[in-house]
Amino acid sequence: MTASADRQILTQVRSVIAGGSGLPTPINAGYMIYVALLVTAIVAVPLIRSIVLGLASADVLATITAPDSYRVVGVVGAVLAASALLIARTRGPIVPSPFLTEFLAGSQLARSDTLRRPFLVSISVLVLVAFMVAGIVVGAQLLGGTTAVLPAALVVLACLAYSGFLALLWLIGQSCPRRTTVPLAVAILGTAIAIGLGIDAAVLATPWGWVAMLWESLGHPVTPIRWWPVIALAVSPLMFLAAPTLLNNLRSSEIMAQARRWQSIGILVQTGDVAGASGVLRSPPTRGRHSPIALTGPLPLAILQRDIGAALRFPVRSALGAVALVGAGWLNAHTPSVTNGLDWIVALSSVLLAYMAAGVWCDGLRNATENAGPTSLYGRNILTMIGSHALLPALACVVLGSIGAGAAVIGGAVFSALPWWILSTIFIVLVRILDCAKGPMPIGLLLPIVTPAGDVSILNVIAWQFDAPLIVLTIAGGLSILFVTAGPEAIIGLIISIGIVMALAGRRVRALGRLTTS
Amino acid sequence: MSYLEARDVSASIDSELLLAPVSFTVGGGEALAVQGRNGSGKTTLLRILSGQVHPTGGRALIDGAPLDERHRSVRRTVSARIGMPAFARELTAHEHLRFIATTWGRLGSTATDVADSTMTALEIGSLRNRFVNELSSGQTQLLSLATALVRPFDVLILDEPEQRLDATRRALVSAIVRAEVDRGATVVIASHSPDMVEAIADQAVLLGSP
Repeated sequence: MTASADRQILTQVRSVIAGGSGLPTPINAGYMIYVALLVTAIVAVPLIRSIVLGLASADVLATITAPDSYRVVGVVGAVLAASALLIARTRGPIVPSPFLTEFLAGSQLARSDTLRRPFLVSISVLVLVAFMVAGIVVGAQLLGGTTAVLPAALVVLACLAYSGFLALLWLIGQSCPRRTTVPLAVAILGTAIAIGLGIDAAVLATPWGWVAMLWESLGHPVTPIRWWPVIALAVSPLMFLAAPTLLNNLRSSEIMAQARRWQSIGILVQTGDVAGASGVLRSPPTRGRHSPIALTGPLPLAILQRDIGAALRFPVRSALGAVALVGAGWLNAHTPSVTNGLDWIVALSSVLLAYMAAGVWCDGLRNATENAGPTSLYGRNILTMIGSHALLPALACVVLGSIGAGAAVIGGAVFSALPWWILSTIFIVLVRILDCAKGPMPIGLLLPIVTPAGDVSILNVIAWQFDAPLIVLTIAGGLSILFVTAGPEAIIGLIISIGIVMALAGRRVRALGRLTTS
Repeated sequence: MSYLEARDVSASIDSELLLAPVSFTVGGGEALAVQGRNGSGKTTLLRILSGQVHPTGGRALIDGAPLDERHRSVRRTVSARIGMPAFARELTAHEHLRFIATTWGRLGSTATDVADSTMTALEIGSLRNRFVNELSSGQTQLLSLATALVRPFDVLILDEPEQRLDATRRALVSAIVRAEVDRGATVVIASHSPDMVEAIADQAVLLGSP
C-alpha cells in the first residue's frame, strides 16, 4: 500500500468521525471556547501575573540566580528526563480513545501515521508547559532587572527544545521494554547526582546540562553566553526522525490498556470520584504471590502484617513512597533555614509530599472504608478496622519522615524540627483517614450556582474533592511556616487541629459504619 | 490463504501457568475449535494467535513467520474479536462499521455498501441508526461480530461468538462463519457451544488445565 493511499484512507476516516451523529454541536463547541476564554481571563492571567510579581522580589531572585542555581536546573532537567521514561507505562504520550486504538491503530495503516496526531498533541502540551514555566521564571528576572534579553530568550528557547527532547524520551518509555528504559532512567539519575555533586563533565555531556549552562548565563553578565549548547539544543528536534520507528513499535495491548485506564479516570473525574480515579492508576500486583502474609497475633498486629505484606507486593511504589517520606521530613526540617520568601514553598512542598507519600501505605485503609456498610466483609466494627489499618501509614510517616528530619538536624537544622515533624505526621495521617472515610460526594454540591461568569458549582466540587490536601497545605503547611517564628503558638494550633480532624474523621467513620456489625 | 501454526505454545505470568503447551496447524479453508474449561487458557491462546501476546514458551507462526500485531502484514491478515470492542458512544452502529471499513481502504460508497451487507447478513440492518448504548446485549454481540467481519481478512479469530445469542442467532452466525471458511479463510474459534463447534469446525483442540 502506498503512502498516498494511506493518506487518502486517513482523510476518509477522519471525515467519517467528523460526521458522527453523536458529536457535540457547534453550540457546545462555542460554549467550551467561551468557558476556556473566561477561565484564561479570570483565573490564568491574574495567577500568572501574581506568580511573576512574587518571583520578582529581591529575596527570591537572589535565590534563583545564585551562582550554583544552574546545578539545580541540571538536576531538575535530569529528573524530568528520567520521569518521562518511567511514567510512560502509566501515562504515555500516545493515549487515543479505546475506539480509535482498536479500529484505527489496529488497522493496516502504519502506526506512525495513525498515532502521529496524539503524539503531536502531547508534544504541544509539553512545549506549552515549558514555555509557561520558563516564561514565568525568566519574566520575573527581566522584571527584576537581573538579566538581559538575549540570555533570557536563549533560556526560553532552550526550554522549548528540551521539552521536545522530553517528549521523545516519553515516547521511548512507552514504546521500548522496561529492560531498556529502566537502566536508561537510572543512568540519567546518575548524571543528576553527578551534577548535584559538582562534576562538571555531567553538565557538559548531557542535554539537561546544556540547559543548565544557558541558565548559568542568566543573571551573571560576566559569564559569556556559550553558543554550542544553543546549537546542540537547536538541532535536537532532529531526534524526531526516530519517532516513526518508535510509534510503529508500540503494542496495541499497551496502548489499549492506557486508553481504557485513562478513559475510566476521565469518567470518574467527571463524576467527581477523584479517589476512584486514583484507584484506577494503581496497577494490580504481579509479584509476591508466593510470599504468604502471616496474619498472626492480635487483630491490629495481624492487620499491620497484612498491610506490610501487601505494600511489599508493590516494591517500586513502596520504595518511592519511602524515599518521598524521607525527603518530606528533610524538607520540613529545613523550613526555618530557608531564605525569607521561599520558606513557604519548602513548607508547603514538604507537607504535600508527605500527604501524597502517605497514600502509598493507605491501601488497607481504603479497603476498610470501601467495605464499610451493611454488607461489610469484615466481622469487626469499622472503627477497629480503620484504627488498625492506620498503623502502617502512621509508622511509615513517623519512622521514615523522622529519618529525613533527623538527617537534616544532624546537618545543622534546628533540633525542634524533629518533634515538630512527628506532630505534623500525626495530623497528616489523620487527614488521610478523614479523606478515606469521605464516602460519595453529596449530590447537593452539583446544584448550579449562577454568577455573571457562569455556573461556579464546580468550585464546590473541587473543594469537596481536594479538601484533604487543602487542609494539609493550609494547616500543616501554614503552621510549619509559623513554627519558624512562633513555635509554641504553632504547636498549640497543630494540637487543636489534630483534635478537630480526629473528631471529624471519627464522625465520618461512624457515619460509614453505622449499619455494620460490631 | 494463510495458515496458523502453534508449536508447543504456552503462556505464564510470573510463575503462574495460564496456558499449558499446545500444538496444532490450521490451514486456509479450515476451521479449528478451541475448547476447554474456564481458565484453561482459551482466550490467552487466541490472543497469542492474533499476535497481541507473545507466548512465553514455544512459537506461534503465521505462514511460517512469527505472529506480532506490530507488523502491518499481520494486522492486515488477521481479524480477531476477543472480548467486546471499544465502541465509540458518539457513532451509530452503521457508522462504526463504515468507519472500520474505511480504515481498511474501502472508501466512500464501498465502505457504506460493505457496512450495509454485513448488517444485512447478521440481520441487524434495522439497528443502523442506533447508538451502541441503545442495543440489547445480544444485539451488541452481533455488532461486535460485525466489526470483525466488515473488514478484509485471511484469518478470522473469534472468542466465544455464541455469547448472549439465542439459538436462531447462533445458527445464523455459524452459517456466516462457515461461509468464510468455505471462501478459504482460516478460522479459529473458542466456544462452549457444541452446536456452533459442530457447524463450523473441521478440527478441535481440547485445552487441559494449566
